Amino acid sequence: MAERPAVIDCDALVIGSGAGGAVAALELARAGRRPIVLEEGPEVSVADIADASPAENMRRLYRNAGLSPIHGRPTIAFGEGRCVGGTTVVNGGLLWHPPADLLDRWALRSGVDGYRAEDLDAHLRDVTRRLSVITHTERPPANRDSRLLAVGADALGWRRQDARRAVRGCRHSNRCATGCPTGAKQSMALTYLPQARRRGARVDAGTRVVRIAHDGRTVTAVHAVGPDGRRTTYRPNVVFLAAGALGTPALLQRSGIHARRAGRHTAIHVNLRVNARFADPVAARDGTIFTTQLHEFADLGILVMPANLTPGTLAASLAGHAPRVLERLLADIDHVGTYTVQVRVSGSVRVTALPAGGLLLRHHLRASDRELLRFGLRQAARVLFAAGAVELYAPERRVLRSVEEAEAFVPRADPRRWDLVSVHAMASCPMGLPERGGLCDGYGRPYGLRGLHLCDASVLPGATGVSPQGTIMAFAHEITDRYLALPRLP
Amino acid sequence: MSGAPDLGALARDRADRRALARTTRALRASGLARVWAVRYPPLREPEAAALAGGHVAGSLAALAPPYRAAFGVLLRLVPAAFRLVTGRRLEVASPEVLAAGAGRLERLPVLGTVVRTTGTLACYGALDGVRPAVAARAAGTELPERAWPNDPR
Ligand SMILES: Cc1cc2nc3c(=O)[nH]c(=O)nc-3n(C[C@H](O)[C@H](O)[C@H](O)COP(=O)(O)OP(=O)(O)OC[C@H]3O[C@@H](n4cnc5c(N)ncnc54)[C@H](O)[C@@H]3O)c2cc1C
Ligand code: SF4
Repeated sequence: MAERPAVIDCDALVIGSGAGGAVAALELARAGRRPIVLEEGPEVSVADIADASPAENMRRLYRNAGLSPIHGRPTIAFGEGRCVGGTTVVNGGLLWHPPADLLDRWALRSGVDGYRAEDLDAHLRDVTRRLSVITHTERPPANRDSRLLAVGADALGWRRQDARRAVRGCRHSNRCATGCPTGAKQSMALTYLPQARRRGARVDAGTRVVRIAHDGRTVTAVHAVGPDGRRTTYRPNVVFLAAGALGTPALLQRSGIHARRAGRHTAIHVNLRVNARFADPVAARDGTIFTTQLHEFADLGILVMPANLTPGTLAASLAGHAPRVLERLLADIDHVGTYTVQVRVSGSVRVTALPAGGLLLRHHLRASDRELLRFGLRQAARVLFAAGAVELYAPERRVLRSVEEAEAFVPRADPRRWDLVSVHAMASCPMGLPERGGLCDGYGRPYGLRGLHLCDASVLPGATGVSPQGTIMAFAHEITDRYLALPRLP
Repeated sequence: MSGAPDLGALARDRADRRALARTTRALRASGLARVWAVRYPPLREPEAAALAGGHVAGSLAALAPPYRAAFGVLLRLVPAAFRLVTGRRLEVASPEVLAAGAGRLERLPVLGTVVRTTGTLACYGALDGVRPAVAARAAGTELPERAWPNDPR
């Protein structure tokens, strides 16, 4: 194998190959800028994913094997991808457009315009086409967990929404969160990145950026460690930073760029998992992540939806229960559906890059967030019992057998004792006027520095409430387009 | 591509293997496998126990160095903490004592998080650590189920 030179001069460099970085890579490649994409994680093919067990894929596709702790009460496990394609390789493939009223609020609050629904519409159409986004129709008998949720919602007269997903020929094989073994999910690794490569982009997998060097006004170099452990210095004309909502502020801190503010107030959605046992078979392993989502409380930032169910995820979620509960539910797995209550919390996460590597994450969930979590659990209980559930395996090792039991339990429940996870982080380096708390301008440029554009989840002005990939990609398209429209300096 | 070995990849593999060997040793020293066999019935079969151990050690080895080191130290403290909370030695404790002791350990700050996290990982690894027996069917080539109304196609 040819040895890589210690110094590489290039035109455009993209850091991170997920939802944001892949967009920048394709747009730059289409403009003939031959970008180099540096990705810390490995390149893993569909065949490799298919041959491995879900647990093996968890270890190699996720950062920290999916175990990044956000400290606080309770400790929240954060999941994000670390591979070519980023988190899009392990996500659910749901692709929502950002709500127009949310974009309007962001524009007013941040003072940056040009990111409203009408501005992003063309980008979202492009994303929809490139990712083959479809609305799932039912394919009975699969996805009965989703149909039961719909039954419950309809019985209560509550709003629900069909899932919009980036999939082609989904086999309903129920493994979305550990990488799609069939190649149906249209992750960045199967769409934007191959297209960018065909137009001259290069992807260096296993290459971790350790620092962005600058002279206080302009980026001068990017230092990275390659798969062989050797350091390489890149000297690009422009850098697009898309290391994710946690990775981007960490890299800014390590590079002395807005080090005190980057990552200070990162927004997250928090997920609670509830297992429901039904009298009739659900066969939830036969299906995709979900086809229906409960939208009745979307204005409050609360969504309820089924999740992928496997023996491992069921056992892991019941690990705190008595041995006989675990044994019984595993034996009865075909009667179980697993549901996620997703809550947009207002308390934020602080990201701190540790000198020895890794991140220290701390959350500050508020009393109002705990109230929202309790409210979410209560509504999930109502809809699932309306759907015919006979038992709910709630937090704090509680087994609830009726709405009345849920109503009695919820006011006394303490989310500080719950097992919570998060898979959506955003707004750690928000776009906005500096006097309104913004860290970067409408071009994604951190204030006071030339040659650097942020273009991932970190730049969103706040939490989306819905799954964020569509919003992230639309912002990344707009940021790259704006950059490409700038006059080129000699 | 030349036939020469990729020295970089070899070095990386070696570093990964070292990390895995360390977390495997720390996990063994913790004695937690005995606790799992009592707490989680599906892990009683040797094959499942081996998958569980492999997943826990592999996941801890994938952590950032400061967290990996902290887990290593805390895992080695488990037997002493167990003795403190139960008055018995973990290696020879009866199933009842193991179950009660694990419950008490789980309520301790910091060490409790380690015990709970490794237990959750063990359950996941034991049950989802099996490679698929049948190859996954490739994605379908039929037309998308229903295009989104905005879709320009
Ligand atoms: C289980 C799960 C399910 C999800 N489901 C959905 C869903 O259905 N729909 C949806 O909209 N969203 C979903 N999400 C979230 C969504 O996928 C992410 O919000 C989105 O991918 C973030 O895009 P990004 O570009 O900011 O970062 P990422 O996609 O995470 O990409 C960042 C990349 O940068 C790399 N990187 C980081 N640091 C460095 C460095 N120093 N040097 C080089 N490379 C680096 C990382 O390895 C990573 O590959 C889900 C997430 C998870 C974990
Ligand atoms: S359900 Fe299966 S085929 Fe469909 S996207 Fe998920 S993993 Fe891929």
